[in-house]
Amino acid sequence: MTEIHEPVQIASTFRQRQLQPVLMLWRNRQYQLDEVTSYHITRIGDDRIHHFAALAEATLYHLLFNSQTFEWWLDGIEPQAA
Amino acid sequence: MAPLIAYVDMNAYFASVEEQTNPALRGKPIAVGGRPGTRSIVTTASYEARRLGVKTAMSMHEAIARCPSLIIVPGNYQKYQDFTRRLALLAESFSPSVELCSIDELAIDIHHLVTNNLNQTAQNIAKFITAFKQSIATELGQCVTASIGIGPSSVLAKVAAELRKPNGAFFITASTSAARSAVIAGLPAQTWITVRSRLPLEAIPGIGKRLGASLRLAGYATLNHLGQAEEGELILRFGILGSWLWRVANGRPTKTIHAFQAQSVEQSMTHQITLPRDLPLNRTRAVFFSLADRIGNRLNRAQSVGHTVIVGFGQTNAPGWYRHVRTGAPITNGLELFQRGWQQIQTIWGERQPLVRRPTIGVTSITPRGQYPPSLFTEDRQRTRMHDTVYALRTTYGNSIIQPATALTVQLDHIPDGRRVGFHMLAREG
Repeated sequence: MTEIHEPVQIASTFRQRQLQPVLMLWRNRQYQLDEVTSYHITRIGDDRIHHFAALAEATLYHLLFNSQTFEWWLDGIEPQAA
Repeated sequence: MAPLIAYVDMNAYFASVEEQTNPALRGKPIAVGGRPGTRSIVTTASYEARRLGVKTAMSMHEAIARCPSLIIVPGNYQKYQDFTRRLALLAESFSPSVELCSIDELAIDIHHLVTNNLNQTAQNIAKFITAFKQSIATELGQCVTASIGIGPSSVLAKVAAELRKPNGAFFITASTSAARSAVIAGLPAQTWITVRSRLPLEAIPGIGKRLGASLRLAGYATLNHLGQAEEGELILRFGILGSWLWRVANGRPTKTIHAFQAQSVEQSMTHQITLPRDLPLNRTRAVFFSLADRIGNRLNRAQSVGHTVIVGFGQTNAPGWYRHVRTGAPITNGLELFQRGWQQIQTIWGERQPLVRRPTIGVTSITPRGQYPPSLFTEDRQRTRMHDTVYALRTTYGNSIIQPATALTVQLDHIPDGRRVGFHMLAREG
């Protein structure tokens, strides 16, 4: 994974009582997130960090959402072309 | 009502979670383990990798030699723990009695599916298995699969799960008619008498190579021999273990399922790492301390205490050395754990300084902390207060907020986990 650690803007929906990112704005470019492949939660102190792996075009984006601060971060990217 | 247990055994769990996360890994030989280039071992290998000779616990070096196309994925144990938490919560929607047996195994008490009608019971079980597998796919993803074993005890249910890997289901029952009904309902099934006659002793979880050899020496070469023996005879020869062996060999329940709760007390907590190079024992003191400190965190989070110290280390060209030592007073924090564990190591090894490859420390015999009154000694109470304050700080601000000075002497390349503050990786701490 190529580590990024940058704040991003995300448009998300709630589906089946589950937050789901659908659109990402990063470095002035818009990315349509086609599929969330996995999701899990970790904690940093009191903060709950929601980890999403989302596919857009041929890249896997690792997104983090801090539910305490409502901030979204792009943790890293992984190209899917093997 | 007859007891009935479903044992859920996740297939190549860590690897399947990684495949679920990253579609580029699907269908390829992958191994989850330490970072490439370090002296780590294979924690889990995907079935594709297993077909090419890669096995769990094999050194990564050997795994790559056997399978040069192997993709090594660094493990993300917080992710696996969260997947397991969600799996356990999902299981609780099927039964109130769910016991987490390990990070990738759980036992579910499903005796409520048993009716007076064998055909109806078999259909209920078959429906449960289909629904449970479907729920796993929906909640955790299509790549995450499980083998489900059904049996009258958790041991037999686990044996059943082992018989149909990956992603299968099997029912071990006491009666031929129940097995027949299950097969008609589309669920592979056999009686325990049939199954045990073709299994080696070591197929039973809890019977390892050493116990298996001892049993053979004592004249019990097969599970049939154990099943045909009198319970009293086995107790006379093997003590309390004899009763357990008899119950397992005859398909009797061995224990009840304890309900899983989000805050349930864990059975044991152990941490170990493989050092980048072998080090003399005296140079691993800070590594042991750092590992013990993590256990202290977990004990505090679970509001629990431990009664038995597990301490030891693996070596490269010599057998590993591990000890379980029962302690007088319960262990409540990382410092106490380290002091007792390190004392054991010092007592045994003294002046000799063996080369350590894999330091290990942990606690077992864990009970809730509230069962014990506070110490009568002021110094003990002050120390407890200090540890509580440290852990409260860590709970609020994260583990990096306060560290023992001893742990800061650890060269961080010995501790292969990047610690995070916010979202930024710290190259070094201290």
